[in-house]
Amino acid sequence: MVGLEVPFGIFPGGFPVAAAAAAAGRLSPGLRVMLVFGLGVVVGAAASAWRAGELIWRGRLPARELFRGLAGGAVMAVGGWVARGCLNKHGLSGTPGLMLSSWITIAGIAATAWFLARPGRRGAR
Amino acid sequence: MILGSVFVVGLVLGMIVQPSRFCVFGAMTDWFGQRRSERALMVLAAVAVFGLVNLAGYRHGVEYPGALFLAGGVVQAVGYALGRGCPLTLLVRLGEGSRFHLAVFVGFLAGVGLYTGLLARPVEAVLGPLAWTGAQTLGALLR
Repeated sequence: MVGLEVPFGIFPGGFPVAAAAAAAGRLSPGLRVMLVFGLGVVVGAAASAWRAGELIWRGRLPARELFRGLAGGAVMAVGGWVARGCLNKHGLSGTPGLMLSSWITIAGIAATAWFLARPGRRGAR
Repeated sequence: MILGSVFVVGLVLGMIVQPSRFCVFGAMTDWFGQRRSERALMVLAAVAVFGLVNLAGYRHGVEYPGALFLAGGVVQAVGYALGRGCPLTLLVRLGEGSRFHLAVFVGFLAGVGLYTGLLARPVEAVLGPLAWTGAQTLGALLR
């Protein structure tokens, strides 16, 4: 098993892994930072949404949406792990840091985003 | 206390991102799909701010450019399109109560398990060596 030192830095991409590690009782200091950071974001967003009346817990989740979500999460996790970081880590930390690895990752993401979102294509979002 | 301040940073970030709909991937799709640049400008502002961190002497880990990053980027992007957002957006939508993004979160864990448990070794074996060890940063490249 490739080592579980999460290659996401402090960025949000590491939060799901940190949450799972916490549930399993194996929270390293680095993961703890990611967990706390992620919780802060979730709570902050919830507070902001609550004040604006934008909380949306109600409603069904159709099966097709459920599978799309599961698939999306799995694919983004794999891609993030392979690239040693999610797009926030590469785009906001590596890119201004002039890391070629980050530039390459962002180029790959941008090209795919273009391919999927270009006008004339049935909406992906 | 480090954890306390990290939590507060996350809190503030969540409160800012939620209404502003900041999303790096969303910025790209808005631009490519509809020529809308609001989010792209937000991203540029964020990049500039993070650039200051680098000026302050932040050291990045060792990362030689290579095929892993290109492949990882492409695969991530497919995931973001399916999952309707990048990981930051995922956290924010979880805060808003989006069940769809709860599914994305679960899928994320499944993906990590699947990859580290099964796919990592072959992927790393094939793509890992396709890297260039000449330089890691633009500065080193130009020197």
